[in-house]
Amino acid sequence: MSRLMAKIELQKLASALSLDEAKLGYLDALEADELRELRDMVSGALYSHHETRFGRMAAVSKLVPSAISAKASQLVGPALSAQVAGALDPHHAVKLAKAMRPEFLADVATFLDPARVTAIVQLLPDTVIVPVGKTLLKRGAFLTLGRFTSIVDPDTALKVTEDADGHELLTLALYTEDRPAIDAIVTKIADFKLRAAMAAAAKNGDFDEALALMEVLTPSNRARVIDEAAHLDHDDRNELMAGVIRNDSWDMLMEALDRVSHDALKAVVNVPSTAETAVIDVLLEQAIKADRTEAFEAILLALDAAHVTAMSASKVLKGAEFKTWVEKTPGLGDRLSGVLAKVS
Amino acid sequence: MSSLRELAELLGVPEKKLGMLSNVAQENLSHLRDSINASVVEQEGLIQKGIETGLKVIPAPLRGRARALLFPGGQA
Repeated sequence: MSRLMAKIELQKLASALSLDEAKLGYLDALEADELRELRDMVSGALYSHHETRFGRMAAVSKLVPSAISAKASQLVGPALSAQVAGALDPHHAVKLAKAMRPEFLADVATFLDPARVTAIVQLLPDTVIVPVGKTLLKRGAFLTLGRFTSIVDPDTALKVTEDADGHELLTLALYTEDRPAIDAIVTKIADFKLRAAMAAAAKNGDFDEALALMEVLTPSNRARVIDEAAHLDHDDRNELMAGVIRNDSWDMLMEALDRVSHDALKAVVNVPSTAETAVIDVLLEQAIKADRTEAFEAILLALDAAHVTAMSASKVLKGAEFKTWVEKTPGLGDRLSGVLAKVS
Repeated sequence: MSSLRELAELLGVPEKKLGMLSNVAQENLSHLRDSINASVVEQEGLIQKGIETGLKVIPAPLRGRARALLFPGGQA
């Protein structure tokens, strides 16, 4: 995931310099955070170099009626309009934006630095933002959309994505710079959309990315995603859990499992990739380490016969640490006695 | 020869802020610096062209005031 995020950041830096991403191949080894920091410095330097003149152009735009200023913007083009926008009085900028076509504003958005236009975007009505957002979505401009997601109200973002399919939602989430914004949007997304996003992850082999995104969600939203993932077909659920094993995502998952329905949990955990004693050992070790008694209990009670058999060979289960852990949790031993009798 | 110091000067940041580039080869640092400079020049061209184009759509009675705002020292 971190490599994917670094690749996305490299695309953004290349875009800021009007370069092909391949030309910056020598920055491949940098982490996503480092590339983002570098991009911020580059964008800041490019802007500050001409800042005084952008300010003068912004002052001129206030001299004339908005319709004329909007026409001038379209004539000078989206790249320069985007730079001047950063120097505009936000209320004046809103008047101009209202006089422009969504297609042109979408072009401008491609060149905008969200940090410089936050005050403007937050004053814009949905009647302006939503058509622009939908235009960007239609163009597959996820890089641009992802940069604005954090400064747009979640309800507005939801309207932009109301017609988006699962793949588009997942891709947009990957490109979203402000990770907490993803949770705010997921909170408002309908369950069927989450199911579509997980189906898209299955279809495109993107479970590693989906799991990394789940890490930024609150446990309750994570649980919603797992509930929806339970509707995937058997092979896809197996791939999902293979991803959990590969990415060592057990603790992230366990933090949410006590909120997942019993049936969904059964569907998700009882797949071939988890029916390995070594896998169950890792699960047990992490449950003990993070003291996830409720999640562990939920998983244990959801396991089918094949998984109980795999668990019976677990060394961790027979170890002193596990015994102490169960004994110190009031009632846990009694509640699990049926299953534990089968595996001991 | 390019260096982190020169790049830091161009970006207007302390050199230590560019620690992430300490393992990047000199020739690549040069490329990065040249790319940033090229973007500055490209923007310069956009601004010049934008000013000329923008002035044309400003109504004649306001054009003088606009010109004075854009070129406060009287430069063209």
